[in-house]
Amino acid sequence: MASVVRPKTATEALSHFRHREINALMSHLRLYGPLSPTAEPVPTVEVHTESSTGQPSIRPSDPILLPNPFIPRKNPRTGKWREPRYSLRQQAELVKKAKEINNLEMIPPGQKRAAMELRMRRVQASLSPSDLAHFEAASKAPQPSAVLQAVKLEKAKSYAEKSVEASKNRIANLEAQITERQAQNELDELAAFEKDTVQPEADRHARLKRQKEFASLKEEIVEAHTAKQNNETKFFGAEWRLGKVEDERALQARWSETVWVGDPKLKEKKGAELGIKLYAGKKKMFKGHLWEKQKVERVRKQSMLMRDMKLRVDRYKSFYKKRKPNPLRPSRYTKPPKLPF
Amino acid sequence: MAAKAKARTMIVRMISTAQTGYFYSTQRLRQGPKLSAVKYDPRVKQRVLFVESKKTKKG
Repeated sequence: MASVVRPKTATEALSHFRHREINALMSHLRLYGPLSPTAEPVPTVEVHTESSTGQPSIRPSDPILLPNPFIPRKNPRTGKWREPRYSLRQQAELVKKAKEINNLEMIPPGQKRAAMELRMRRVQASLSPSDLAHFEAASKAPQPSAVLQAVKLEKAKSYAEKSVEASKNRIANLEAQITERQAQNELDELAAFEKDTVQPEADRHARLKRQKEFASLKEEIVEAHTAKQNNETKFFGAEWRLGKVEDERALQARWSETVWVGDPKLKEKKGAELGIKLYAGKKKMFKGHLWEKQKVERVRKQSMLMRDMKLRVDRYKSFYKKRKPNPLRPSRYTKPPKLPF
Repeated sequence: MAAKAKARTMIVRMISTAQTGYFYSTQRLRQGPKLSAVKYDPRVKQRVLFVESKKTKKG
């Protein structure tokens, strides 16, 4: 049976998108060369050298420079165009997810984001003042998931830490008990080896009991070591996950200042602001029926024909009148007179 | 079976020479001469010459 894949939440999907874009940067640089931002004023990335290693480092406050994945790009070597890394459907999905958490700035600029922003503006314009207040409050909703996650992981980490401490204490305690009883245990083992040979034991029952307790102590200490290891694993796991969450939050904080290199070339649709696109930007709303447009030519032709129609009709009617027999040339269709010879 | 014999008469269309698109439909002998007549054209509201066209049926 195939495993069921849980659909991603908005934050998960956007986090996945973030990481995907950061990982794609290297292949982009290899294919297209260095990123060159457009004419828009871009905050210059100040590169500082670390004193110890002499390597250039980028301060955490510098904006991230990434290629816009929503636009097609031309490979300079082959001259062939590559489609955007995300199809329009995928872009729309990302925009919807960003809208869910009320942070459209996360997504690079493109036609889907522009369309969503336009829609939001139109909705805002149509609302009454009370509804508008609600709308604005909803669109500034905080993101509690990351904060809660961090809190949970902190708790898990501290609990694991305490468990590790407790395990260590237990091990120390057991080891102390073992060292206490070590000498007596050796004597007991010797007695067990020599039993019924030298003289019968007086406190055989007590010896057996002591040996049993010692064995159980040994087992306990093994258990305690295992438990300590488990707790340490949990502690390191919690620490690592917390570190990841902190990194993610740091990235989220920086992400809003990302500079997306590449012009999306948004087509300006006339009348989009109004919402009426049918006749926007056009001189005539309806061009008129085809017969109306052809009427002038038709009337001109007909008037020419009708001008000499009377003459034509008269000529037609007088066709047979004109065809009188010629006195000089008798008709061929009359038989010649029959002669008696 | 013998092939279907052609009819004695045929249906023809007489089109207005005023080029209004108006026409009359009539019959004539298959072997007879082409029809023409002066008939009323409602588009120009006059009597005009109508002349038989080559096409009789639509299409």
